[in-house]
Amino acid sequence: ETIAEACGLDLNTRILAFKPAPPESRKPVDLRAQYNRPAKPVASQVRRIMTTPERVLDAPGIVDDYYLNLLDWSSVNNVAIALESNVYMWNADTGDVAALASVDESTYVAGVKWSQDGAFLGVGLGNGLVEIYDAETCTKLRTMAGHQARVGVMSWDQHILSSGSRSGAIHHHDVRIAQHKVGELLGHNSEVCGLSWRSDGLQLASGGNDNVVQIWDARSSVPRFTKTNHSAAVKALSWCPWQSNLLATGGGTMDKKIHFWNSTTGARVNTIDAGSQVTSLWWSMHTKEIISTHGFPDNNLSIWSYSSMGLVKQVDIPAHDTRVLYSSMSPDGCVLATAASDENLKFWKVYDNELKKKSVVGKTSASNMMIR
Amino acid sequence: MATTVPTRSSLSLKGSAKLVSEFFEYAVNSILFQRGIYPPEDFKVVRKYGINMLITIDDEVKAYIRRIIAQLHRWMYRGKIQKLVVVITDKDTGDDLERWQFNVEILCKNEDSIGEESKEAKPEKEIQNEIQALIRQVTATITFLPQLDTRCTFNVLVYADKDSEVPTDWVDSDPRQLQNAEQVQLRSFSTNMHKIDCQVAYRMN
Amino acid sequence: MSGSKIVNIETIEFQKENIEPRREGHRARALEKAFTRDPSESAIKDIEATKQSYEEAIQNTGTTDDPLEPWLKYIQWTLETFPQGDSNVSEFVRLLERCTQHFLKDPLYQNDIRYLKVWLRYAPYTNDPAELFSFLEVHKIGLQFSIYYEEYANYFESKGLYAKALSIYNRGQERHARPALRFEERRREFLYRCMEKAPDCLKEQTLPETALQIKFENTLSLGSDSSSSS
Repeated sequence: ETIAEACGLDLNTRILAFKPAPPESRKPVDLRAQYNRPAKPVASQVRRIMTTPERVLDAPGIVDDYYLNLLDWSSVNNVAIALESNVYMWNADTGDVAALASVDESTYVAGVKWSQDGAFLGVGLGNGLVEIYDAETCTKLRTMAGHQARVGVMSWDQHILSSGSRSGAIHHHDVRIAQHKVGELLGHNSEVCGLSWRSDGLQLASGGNDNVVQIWDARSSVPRFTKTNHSAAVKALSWCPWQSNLLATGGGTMDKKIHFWNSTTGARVNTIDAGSQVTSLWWSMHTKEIISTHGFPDNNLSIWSYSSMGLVKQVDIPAHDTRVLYSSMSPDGCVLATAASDENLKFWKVYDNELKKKSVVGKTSASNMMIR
Repeated sequence: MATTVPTRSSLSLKGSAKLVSEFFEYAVNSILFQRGIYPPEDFKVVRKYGINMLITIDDEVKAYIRRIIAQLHRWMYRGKIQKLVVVITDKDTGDDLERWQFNVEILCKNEDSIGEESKEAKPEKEIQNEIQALIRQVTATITFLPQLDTRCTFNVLVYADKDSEVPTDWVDSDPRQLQNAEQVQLRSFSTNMHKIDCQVAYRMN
Repeated sequence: MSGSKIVNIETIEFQKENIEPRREGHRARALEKAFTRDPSESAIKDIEATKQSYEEAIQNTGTTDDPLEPWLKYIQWTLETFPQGDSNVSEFVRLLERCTQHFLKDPLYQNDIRYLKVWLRYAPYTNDPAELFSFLEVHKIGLQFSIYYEEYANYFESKGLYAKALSIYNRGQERHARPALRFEERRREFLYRCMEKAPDCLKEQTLPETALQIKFENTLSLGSDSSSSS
């Protein structure tokens, strides 16, 4: 009796098996499918793309975590990179490095994001606090509490800093006022790992570890669209610069898809299988292309031409030895910075200055703002 | 689901049994797809529980699962079932490699109280969200389960009450627990009447 | 249930994108341990200390009968401690590289499946896995094992090079790769895919009997009895 109980068996229970044998598979299952994927052909290149980085910097101790966002390039050409509990600022014009922020030893930096004018850096912490630093003086301006868990992702819209937490909550902070929390979006059931305001501030896209993409209208606290097509976490989000209602989203390891959405109708307008965990997406400011960065298994950087007919891969660069976890585009849209747990920060010249001249979008003017 | 869900506040036992049986049908299909027991082109995507689910389009497999689910539903309706188990086995060696166990807990066996709707109704949307979260976890298990690189087959077991009526195509079985297995507890979902939780055990060599 | 602990999936699900997909899977308990590790200095020091003890073990193999064993333990520990795989901290690929190099000239391991598996684990991290496989051929490492031919052929197949994959299977057949049953099964499965996706490359070949069988049977029964006839 005790043995039966120990086995979790009740004497009043019968264990029954369905006797008929299950049907044989009609054909052999390709057991290797998940690990050996056919290599996607790359189109013959229409233009020359540099496949070696222009510059490599050391990023010792960079945290190896998909859910964090530790690299951001400002509109005034400062690159912020977080290494454990410190944030450094590398000036891409002068090459100078400054220690911008140092957070409490008991926690770590989980996310960094420059304000649109490049004057202030939002810093999300492992303990759920959000801090704001002044780039000019390298001092902390304020600390905003409210989240119950770490803040790994942020996005600015003028004076509103939106922050996503491991709890699944998104908060809007008005950084000018004392009672900073002006909005709360409770749409995700798991960590928010992607967050991006459209440049006109009319819509916000969010992606989570719950595999969901949500699109929110500004000032609304219910999602306009909830998209469940991805089958892994969604970190990569990018709004198209030449068609404001076109959103690209990329899925994690078990998904590997990039979906394209019309954010007005909620329709999925395109999909590609990128073949690897998607870690970031960057629309080109110069040509009708989109850049994707990847983790498992290829750790690559790809450039795709985009048209309503579909996408064609232009180039595939084995960018790092390990997952390309963090990336950011230079303000002129020509250089992509990438960082990985191989502790390298690499700079890729994805567009040259020739292309820059015939840009498809005008340079967005950054407005100034004040933080109390 | 849409056909039997009562318009009134709570799911009846009948409705709940139907919902749970249907969930098992989708869950078994998901496992067969995900674990490569049948080739991926034998499955199609359907919209269910607010997410994309995969179900077999192979008539034989479909009929096989339906037979199991139909009997399961009968037991469920009479409150006779305690567990549903899917065992994945190496076809050649006969070794059990993976064991998915769904525990069925009957929250409210007393039918009288059900009729009076004394319990607070659980909104359908909430149930759906819980199922969604469970299915998402089932999907996430591929991140750690070993690839099944031998040809595998599956068997379904149930733990039923001793006094259950047993059709002839069901036979007594041992529990087929895995030795030295890794075990993972997934989340649960509940209706007003049933609580279902899920565990997966697997072997690594 | 044999006293093993049940791991709650939440710990794993929260970190699912930080788990490197591995064919052999991950131990749930190892994942739980890695993901609940506190990120403090002392935990990092503990890992460093453990790593150091594995380093010492692989240096001091003078009297052991099986010097590969401490390397395999070290590899296993690294796999379980770093679910993300290779990084500057785990130095996983470096470890595989060191291990494969270390025993290259050791006749004891030329036909040791464990040593071959270290090579196969290393292969996907190299720039040209095909080069690695032919390197193994030259050094006669693991050439009697089915898995060598399977992986070699898989690599070509994943690039759509069916003819090359076929030649690898043929080579394995000539050399009586073992276990024979497994090899024959994998070969048949390959021939089936080849038939579907690149039938042309089978034409140039004297068609193996099994392939013809598959072609005419159409519905394929992969029972072990049919493969034992060879």
